[in-house]
Amino acid sequence: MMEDAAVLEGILPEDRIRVLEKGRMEEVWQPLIDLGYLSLNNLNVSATALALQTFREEVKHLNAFFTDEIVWPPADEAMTIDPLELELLRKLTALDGDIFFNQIPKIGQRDIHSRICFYRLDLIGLLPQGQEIGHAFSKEGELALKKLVVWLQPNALNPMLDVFNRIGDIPELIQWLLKNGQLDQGVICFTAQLNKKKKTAVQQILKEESPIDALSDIEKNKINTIPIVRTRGLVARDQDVERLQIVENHIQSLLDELKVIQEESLSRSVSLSTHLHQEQQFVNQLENKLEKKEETLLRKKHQIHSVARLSKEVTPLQKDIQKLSQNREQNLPAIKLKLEQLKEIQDLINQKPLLEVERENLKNEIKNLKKDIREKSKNIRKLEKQINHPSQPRNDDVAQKQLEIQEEVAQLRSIREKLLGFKSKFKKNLKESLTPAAYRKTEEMILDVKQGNMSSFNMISADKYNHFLMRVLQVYCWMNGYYQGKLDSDFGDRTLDAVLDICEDIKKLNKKHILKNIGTKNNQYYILNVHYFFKKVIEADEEQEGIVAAGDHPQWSFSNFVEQHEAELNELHHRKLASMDEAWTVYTDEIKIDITLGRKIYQGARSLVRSLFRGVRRLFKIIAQGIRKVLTFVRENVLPFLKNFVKFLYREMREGWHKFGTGMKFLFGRRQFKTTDPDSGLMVMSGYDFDFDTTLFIPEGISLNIVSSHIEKVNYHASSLNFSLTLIGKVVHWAITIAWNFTWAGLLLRLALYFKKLVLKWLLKPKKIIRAVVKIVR
Amino acid sequence: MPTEKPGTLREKFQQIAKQIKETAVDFTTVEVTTVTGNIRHLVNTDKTKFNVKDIVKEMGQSGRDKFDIKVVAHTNIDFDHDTIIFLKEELTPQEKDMFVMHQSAMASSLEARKSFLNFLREVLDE
Repeated sequence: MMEDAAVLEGILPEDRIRVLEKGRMEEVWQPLIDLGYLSLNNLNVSATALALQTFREEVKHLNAFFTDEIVWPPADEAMTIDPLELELLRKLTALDGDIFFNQIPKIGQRDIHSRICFYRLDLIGLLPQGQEIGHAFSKEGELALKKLVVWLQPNALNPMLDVFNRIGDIPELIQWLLKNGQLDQGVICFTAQLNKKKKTAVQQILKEESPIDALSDIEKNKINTIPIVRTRGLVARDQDVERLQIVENHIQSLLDELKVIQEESLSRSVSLSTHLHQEQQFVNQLENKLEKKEETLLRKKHQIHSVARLSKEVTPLQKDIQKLSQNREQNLPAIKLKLEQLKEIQDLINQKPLLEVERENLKNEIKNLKKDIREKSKNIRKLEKQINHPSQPRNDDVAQKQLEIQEEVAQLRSIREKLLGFKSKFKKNLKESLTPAAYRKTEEMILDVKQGNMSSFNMISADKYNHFLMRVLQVYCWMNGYYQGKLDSDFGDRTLDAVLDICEDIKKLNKKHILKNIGTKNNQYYILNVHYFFKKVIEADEEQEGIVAAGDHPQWSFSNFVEQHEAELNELHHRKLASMDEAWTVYTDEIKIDITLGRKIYQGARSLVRSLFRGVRRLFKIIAQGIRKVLTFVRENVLPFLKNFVKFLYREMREGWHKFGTGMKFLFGRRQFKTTDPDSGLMVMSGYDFDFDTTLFIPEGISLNIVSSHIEKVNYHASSLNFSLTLIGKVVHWAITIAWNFTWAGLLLRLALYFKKLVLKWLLKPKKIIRAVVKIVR
Repeated sequence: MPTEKPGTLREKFQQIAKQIKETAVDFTTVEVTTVTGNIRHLVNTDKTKFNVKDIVKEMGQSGRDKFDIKVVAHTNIDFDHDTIIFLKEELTPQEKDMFVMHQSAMASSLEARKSFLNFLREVLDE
């Protein structure tokens, strides 16, 4: 590889090429500290050399696909680091799923597996108490994995191994959580005291200008301190800042007024809720009364129907009675005559009492009949009156009452909505994200909190799974360059900032649609729609990867940006060359400070590139919006951009440099690959002819894992060849066709452009191939 | 700022291009062969002595009866993508897995050849 370095001579300064080849000590320290090989308090050469030796001893047993490609230095040159070794160190501590393990650590053993397992558990907040990353693997560690198995429910033959690998691939883990993590069963709950609503322009400027001050805040426990602006003699910018400060103060005073109004409205809403409760009781009473009335009415209707039926039966009887009475009246004179005759006869014959008795009976019967008729007539009249009485007004009355009740219910509902304080979009997202039962439960919990009942909220916020989800969110932010604070599952201002930044970058994500304070200003209780959040960030990541993989023209086209601004940046570069070097120094210092303060810097390649390009996209977006003022500001303060650019350039140059070297070695080397099974001593071998004809030897009885590992290695070399040939082809093309009147910065920009395309394309590709092969083998 | 050395660089690039032109003769076909068996006694475990070509050569010179070697699959792909695949009869489960690996190795060979041809096109067509 060293002889290939000549290709870049004249393009990059020699000292920078050396840095690219060797890497910086800061980048070696961090993974060694992360994996417990090196102590933060002992960052000297001898300790580093010892740590590297231990690492090398342990990692030789790791069957990663390129470990046998690393040129291990002799024992007396421990500080010599092969670029691939540096790459391996970074991949081991990255969480992009770059390295898969085929076994979990054994209890009591301290090796690379136990270190990685503890490191990953530590990052997601599950490192057992009393354990450290450098300790031997323990039963508590195994329990933590088992806990993850319960939470993640993997459907693999070896579930513990599956979760061990899964927590090493956070994007994949989030996807799995979305499908199987029961995120539709609730929201994340946490208490916090957040002060920032949205970053103002001033805050953004301050943050950009003093990264070191901002970095040191958290370690010194100076929460919410305003970083000091380092003056650079940029008067115009300072004036802008002052003007913005005045505007911001005005906005702040308005905000304060709004807060007072908000508090008043909140107290009103609380009294309203009491009133609501009383109203609710009253409505319930009304409803009960109405129900009883309806029942009575129904009973009466039944009675009316039965009376009507009875009246129909009575009519023929009346007729009979009338007939009978007519007959009686007709027969009365005759009867009277007969009676007289009978009296006479009685008088005459007093010895015949039986006839008299019969007569009496008859009399009584007639009397009874008459009485009956009178009573029934009375009843009929009464019933007729009742039947003819109009019932319509009563029905109207009931309908009126019902309408009133409906209105009251609608009012109660709107009061309930106001009490919940949901924006329509937040509510819509929440409804989409949660099951109906979980949504109702969440609503109830919010109303409880509003009434001061914190039991259900406290229960959820104290739940370990709730903490785990918050940590995953934090780790995602950290990996993508949004979060620089401590990984602590604690949702503070920095985590809020990170979420706000993500919301700025992802179109369909708005803070107001996912995060809600359901408490007051002084007692802030938050709920976060984690299902929606994860869904949108994964969609955005997939969209971005899809764009890169397909090689389409993305909206924020970095290539267009570089091409359009190449001349401008070249000119700028001439003027700002010193600033660029300063930026490099600042960046190096930042890393040193980070390391010495114990802060982890995420070193995974894919996420870093993604976050970097998000930043460039944001910048491009601002430019595209045609805000000249902002553009001027950016031009005059291009240092942060250049700093990021340099960061990207150097980092990816080295990444690509390794790949380039591997590809060249494949092209001009012996083209022989072998992978040895450490258990059986059997070897898989591949030989490539000059024209890439291949012979593959697979000995009988060799483990398939070894064969697939071998194929991964060969694939890596083939893709590296593609990478380096494409790159060198482009450079040769420029060398032959383009005039040599542009600066090395211009060529650097062009190289960066192609590196971006190539690195993303070829870094993503092998992973897919490896996964496909592993899947087939399994 | 470093000084530019267009002449030197150009010469270097031209040298590389010339070297590549010379090596681009036999790129019309890709052949991938996957063999299995016991070849342990042929392989020198010393890293520097390992060479697949030597093993094949030795196998050819020593005669078949000395080795327990089986060809699992052989693929021949022409420049116009005409493809011939020889596959061993009655594959055992392990040999089936080997065939999967054979296909993967074939993909690697094709990618390597394709990238080289693309490179030539990039350099020579301009």
